[in-house]
Amino acid sequence: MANILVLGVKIPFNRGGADTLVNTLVRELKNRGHDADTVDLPLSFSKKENFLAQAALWRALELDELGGKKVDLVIATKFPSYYAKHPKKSLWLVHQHRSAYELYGTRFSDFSDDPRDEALRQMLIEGDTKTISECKFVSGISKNVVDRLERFNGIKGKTLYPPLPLGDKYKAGAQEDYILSVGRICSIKRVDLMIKALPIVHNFIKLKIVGTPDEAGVMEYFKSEIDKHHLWDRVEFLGRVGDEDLLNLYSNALAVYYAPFDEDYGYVTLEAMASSKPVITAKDSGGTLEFVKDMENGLVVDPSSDAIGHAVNRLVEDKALAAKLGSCGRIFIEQSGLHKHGWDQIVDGLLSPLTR
Amino acid sequence: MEKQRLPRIAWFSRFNRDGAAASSSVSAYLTDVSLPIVQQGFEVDLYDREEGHLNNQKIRSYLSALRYHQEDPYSLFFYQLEDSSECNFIKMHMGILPGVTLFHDLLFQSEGPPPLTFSVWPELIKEFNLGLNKVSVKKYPQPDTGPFAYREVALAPISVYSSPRLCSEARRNGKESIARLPQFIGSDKIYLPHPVTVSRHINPVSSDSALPRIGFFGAPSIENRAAKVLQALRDIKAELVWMLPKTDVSRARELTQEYGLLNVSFIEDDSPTGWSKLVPSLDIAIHTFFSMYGSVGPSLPISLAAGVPSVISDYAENDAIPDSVVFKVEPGFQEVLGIRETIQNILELSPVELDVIGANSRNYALENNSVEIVGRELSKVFARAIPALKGFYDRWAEVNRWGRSEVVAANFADYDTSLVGNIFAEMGWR
Repeated sequence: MANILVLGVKIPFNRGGADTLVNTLVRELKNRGHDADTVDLPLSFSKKENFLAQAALWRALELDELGGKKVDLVIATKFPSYYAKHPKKSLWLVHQHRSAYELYGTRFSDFSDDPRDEALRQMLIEGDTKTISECKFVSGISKNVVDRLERFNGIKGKTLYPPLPLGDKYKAGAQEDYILSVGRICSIKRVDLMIKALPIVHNFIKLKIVGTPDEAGVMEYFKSEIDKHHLWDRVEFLGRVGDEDLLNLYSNALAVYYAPFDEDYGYVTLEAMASSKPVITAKDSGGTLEFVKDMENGLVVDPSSDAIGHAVNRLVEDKALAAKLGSCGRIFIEQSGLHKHGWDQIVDGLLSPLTR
Repeated sequence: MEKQRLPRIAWFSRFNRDGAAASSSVSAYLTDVSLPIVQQGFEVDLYDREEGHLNNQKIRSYLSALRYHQEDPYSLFFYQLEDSSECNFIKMHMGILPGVTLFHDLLFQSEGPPPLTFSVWPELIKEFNLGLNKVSVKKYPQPDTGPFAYREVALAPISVYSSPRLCSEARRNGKESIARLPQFIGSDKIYLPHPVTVSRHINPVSSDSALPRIGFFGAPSIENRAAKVLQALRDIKAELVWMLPKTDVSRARELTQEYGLLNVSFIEDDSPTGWSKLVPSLDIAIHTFFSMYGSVGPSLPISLAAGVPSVISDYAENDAIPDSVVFKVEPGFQEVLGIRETIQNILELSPVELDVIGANSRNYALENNSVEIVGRELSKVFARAIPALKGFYDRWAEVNRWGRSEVVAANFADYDTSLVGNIFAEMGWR
């Protein structure tokens, strides 16, 4: 049995899919008899130039031996945890610093054409390429993430989809008159498109939003949109909810809205499918499109409020269609095994450097 | 003996990708027709926002361009700019590594992409021209300078324009430039006509069909004089074939109904390629246009190359087209009458007269717009630009080195150098 450290990057006071991934990976490693633990460092976004120094701090860590134990393997997850040095380093990439990569040139990036910004971007790419190339096993949480790594850094990796965090607990329930949105509340998740779609959606349909804001000003913006369209009684912010509540919310929704811009993977998609709910997503939503197929298990539409509103109405007006799409999603989950197993392949891959 | 390698060009553009329908993009059209000629003298790699293929050649993500440039340096970066959010990636990249830019538009509906609001280009250009390889100011939101492409023109050491009107606009308004290259003094803004394939065959006027076919290309807009054309056609027995963007069809249908035109076919396609396929079947092509800016685009030379009698507005850059080649109509109060009479006159021309006009227009297109000539001209621009830009690129590398040193300094100001300094050295960051 091996001593393994899973390297996580913490955004204090927030919890997202990456935190779930680190925790469930440690749990699965322990279930298999390994001594596993996490090393988390915070990441500050206050000054982007300092990403280099923050990456260097990971590099400075001595991880070969800790607590009197030799560390046999480290598993890096997201930027900049893979800067850590270890002779046996595996990577299960959640994402790199996206503003320097696929978000560059979009409204979601803060890199301009200033020579300092460009220098920083190039330095991050060079650093990423160097430190990821050291990994003895390279993988990513979706095809989208793995493709980016090859496109931007010239490094090939294997796709290892994270299984559902709550395993086989997801269940199909009623089709109540609400659409569910789950996830961090920030501009890239584009919950605003769904809010702004509500005026054209049948007025008995509500929107329930699970998650907490992690971007300055985003809630004020949402609230102003809600005020503008008189949607006070149709939008409900639930904040962070417990597992049981989340399962029930999925279970009784009419459909799940999840249309971020170029998502890495998106647990929400699979959780919705496992709960037999159709997913409404957008044509540019990245990783979600590895699972959601238009009119098979969800609706894939243009990233506009208009298109999203019409998609919701379509399901409202044809609940049989909503049920059919939902059950196809459930069948996909059962066939993929992402609700029950799937961890063996991941653990085998990530631990493969131990046997070399 | 080892074969000498061709100079390498990184070609940033929109593309009519393999398996996709041709788009309205002028950049994509120019690439389709000119690239084979340019590739006779240059090794060209294609870059777009997303990966794909063009004639089985790989289109790479523009974000990988600098990586490929490091591995195997390009001699030149070539950009094509249009007023489209699809070109935002080009606006970004031309700011981080300038080169030769071909402008198809000079006014942009959006100032995007949003990060460029924080571009320091005015200061960069000022200091670069003073011989300094740095930018003194830090970021701040740039004041809105309106829709004119000041930044893009200024960041193009050599710029090319697909219409003479654009070229003169740029000369008049785009005073600033990132580099005054000695080899291009007085000629750093170059006009390059739209390339077209010139038909070798005379287009026969439809003698056997019941009605003459009149083609109209473009949106039902005031600029295209759509209402004037439709009004003029009311009293003419002809079939109107209207090629236009899909999104404009319902509006166009309403307009034709309003003017009582019954014999109208709509073709949902506004690509130059689509027009070049349609035009040989036409008896008359209408290219009316009246606007404070812009131009008709490649559809007019395509019609001329096919030898089809073309009705154009007597306005702006059309002045330069000889009267023996086209039929000009003055915009204004008499425009409807002018269009109607011009069309009627064309329809009354004898086959011999039509042959002469067809030959004139084809010869004009052959001299000015033929794919071979334009492709060679573009190649000449590249061939001249490569040695001229060498010194510029050396200095640009200095600016990039300065940028790196600034980033390192910012980190060392906030973090203990003894803690992270060695790692910066190990990573090659300093």
